[in-house]
Amino acid sequence: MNQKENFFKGFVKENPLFVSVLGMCPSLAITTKVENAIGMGVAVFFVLTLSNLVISLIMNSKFLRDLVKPVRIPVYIIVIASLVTIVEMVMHAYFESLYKSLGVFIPLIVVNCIILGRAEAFASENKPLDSAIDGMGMALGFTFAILIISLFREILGSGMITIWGDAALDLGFIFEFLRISPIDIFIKPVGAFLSFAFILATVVAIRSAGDRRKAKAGADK
Amino acid sequence: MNKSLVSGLVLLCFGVVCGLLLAIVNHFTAPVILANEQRVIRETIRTFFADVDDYDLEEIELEGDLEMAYLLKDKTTGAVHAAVYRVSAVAYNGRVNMLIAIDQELVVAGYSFIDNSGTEGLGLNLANLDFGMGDKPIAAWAVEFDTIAGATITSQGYAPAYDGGVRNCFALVAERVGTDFGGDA
Repeated sequence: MNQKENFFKGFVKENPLFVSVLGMCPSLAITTKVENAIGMGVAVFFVLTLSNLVISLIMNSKFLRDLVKPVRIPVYIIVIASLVTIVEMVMHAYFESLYKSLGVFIPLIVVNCIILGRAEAFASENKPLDSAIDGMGMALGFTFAILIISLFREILGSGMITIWGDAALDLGFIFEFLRISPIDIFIKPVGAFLSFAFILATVVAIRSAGDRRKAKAGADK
Repeated sequence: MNKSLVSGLVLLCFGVVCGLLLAIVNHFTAPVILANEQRVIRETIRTFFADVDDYDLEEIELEGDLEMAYLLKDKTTGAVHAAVYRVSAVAYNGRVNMLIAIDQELVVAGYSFIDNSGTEGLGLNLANLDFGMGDKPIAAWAVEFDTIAGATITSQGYAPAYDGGVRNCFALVAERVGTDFGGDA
């Protein structure tokens, strides 16, 4: 696998949310606004890229690898928790409204399966540069997925798109034109599951159609 | 060397390195976080005392239901000009959390509700209504504050619980003001 494939695999082929179905908890909880999805995406990007890089550096050094191997999972957790705490402190200081909006889901990035999963499955077995690229790709794939969910939920549930702070796009005129109100349920927890189910079903249908086309093309040859 | 000991030492080393890194980041972010918190507190106090910036603000962490006192002190003499208290008490169907502002005459300069889980519809809108209390001292508010005098029998059912909770907040402040301002409420 070259570096381009390594980077882009997280977007579609191995998307952590829509294919591996990892990191569901924050994805469903914080996707009430696009702003939250962007903030969470940036936080996960920072943590996942650096944790993959640091863990790969540790595991690529023969001396450190031998020392760390028996306690590698606690070591991964220490590295990830430190990075998450840095994100939390910086967000608290400079992006307070986002910090309050994401709430407990910032420290919960520590136990996000995507991060520990990539550390164990990829970073511990690959070179630092490849691991960092894998982390970036996976984080962007995750961000892309939660952006889709939050767009779906916020448009249907609030009739607007909150991009950042006061920068928001009011789509109320569409609802007025259709003479309906925004569907409140989509910004509630149940709406998160419904939205995820709709989007996942669509993704699976598209993938299946693609697979069928490929199989048919293969059979025709 | 014992493998468990080596593993423990490895974890300790990682912990120390990460702890140092966090201490460095904290060194830069903590003052910003503190300044942000101070700004929010000053903005809140400004709703009661517009001239808050003319005074030094002293925070006193208290114990129990009377959680915090913010004293506005004269910048030269250090005399307490006014105070805002964060206080909570059991009220109707939950706790009521209030900010109560007291001026140097020990009169309630204003109050607001931070949270009122029991009666959000009514409770959070009560601020800025004095219910005929006017310029009475804080000690009187602790006894006479009455949001629904003359209301129906049904709503009187919750009056003792709700008004009781709010009065308890005023009572806690009334007990405290003597310490902060000197003299009796």
